[in-house]
Amino acid sequence: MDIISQLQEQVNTIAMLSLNTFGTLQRDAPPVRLSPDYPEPPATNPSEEAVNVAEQSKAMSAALVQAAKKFDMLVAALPLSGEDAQLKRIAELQAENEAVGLELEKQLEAAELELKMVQELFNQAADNCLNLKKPD
Amino acid sequence: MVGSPPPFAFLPSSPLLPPSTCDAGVDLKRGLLMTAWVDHQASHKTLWLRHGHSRSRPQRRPSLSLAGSLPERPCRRVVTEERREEMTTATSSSYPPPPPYYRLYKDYEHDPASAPDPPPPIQGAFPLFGATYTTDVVLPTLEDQGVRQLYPKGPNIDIKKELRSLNRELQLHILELADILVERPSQYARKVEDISLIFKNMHHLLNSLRPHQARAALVHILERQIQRRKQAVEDIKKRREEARRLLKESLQIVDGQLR
Repeated sequence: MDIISQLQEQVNTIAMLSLNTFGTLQRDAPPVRLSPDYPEPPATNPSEEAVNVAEQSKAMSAALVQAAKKFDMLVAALPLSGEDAQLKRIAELQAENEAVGLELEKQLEAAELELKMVQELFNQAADNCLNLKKPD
Repeated sequence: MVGSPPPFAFLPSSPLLPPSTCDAGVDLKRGLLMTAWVDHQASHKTLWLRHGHSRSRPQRRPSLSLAGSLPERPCRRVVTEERREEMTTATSSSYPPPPPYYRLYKDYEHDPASAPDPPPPIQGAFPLFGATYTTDVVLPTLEDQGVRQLYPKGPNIDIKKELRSLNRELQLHILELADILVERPSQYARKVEDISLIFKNMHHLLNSLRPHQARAALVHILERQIQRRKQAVEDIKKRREEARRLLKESLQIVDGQLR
């Protein structure tokens, strides 16, 4: 894929990762104690879930940072140059293309001429051969 | 003029009657339906107009007669063409007629130059099936889409630098969003809007790189073409040399045999 499309894909990936991160955290976060009056809810494996959430959040944030780093790397790899430089190069290449095209045409014409000559010679030689050989 | 025709008005949508008749109309004095017949005789060079209350038979005496000669084309064609156009607008089930400029190409097979040239390609904006399109394809600026532009305007901006700084800002905003969700969860909307603004700016910057990519592709194509042409020139030269060499050799052989 060309580099600009890769960059666009990377931007979308960053967006998706941040969406997933916040969504997962909001879904899996353990409830927060609002006030000391309300009793704690009955613990249903709180330690495992807390560990899971902590690990998940670490992994997801690491992925987010990785994606941002990859974006930076892709930006650094962009082969940018000025518009004027490009237009100048295009004009140069067009001129060179014209010149090479003319030479190709010249060579082609000369080669076709030679081909015709050789074919004539061959025809003459074949005719001579036929004429020299008398039937018995 | 023979007799005076009654005041007569054509009805707007009447079915097409057989040739040499006009459509039915209304006798304005009595409010009755009438039919008018138009008759032209080239030999007499006269045009007769007859009225009648019957749809199948005109009255004997013409209500109006005009002296003069009409062109060879019968009256019917003028009538039927107008009628046909009216019919197509009135009834939607009939197909539209072909565009009338087909007549300009009557002699195309014998004389292609007699037909007019095709119209030149359209430039600028043109309407098509109710929507306006333009031939000048340009990326609309962010302001046109109602989005604030975060990176500086101007002809020469360092795109790489801007993209990198937008990336940093994005990371910072995501972190701030996490913070807000912990401390002040009800104020998430503004932060989310900011993040989407940054994304839009990034995408717009990347889209503005596409013309540059197109020019680079053109450069690449030209370079490849030049290389192919050079290769072809070399090939031709080589073959010609080989052919010449073979001819020389065969000449030497023939000479050797002759001596």
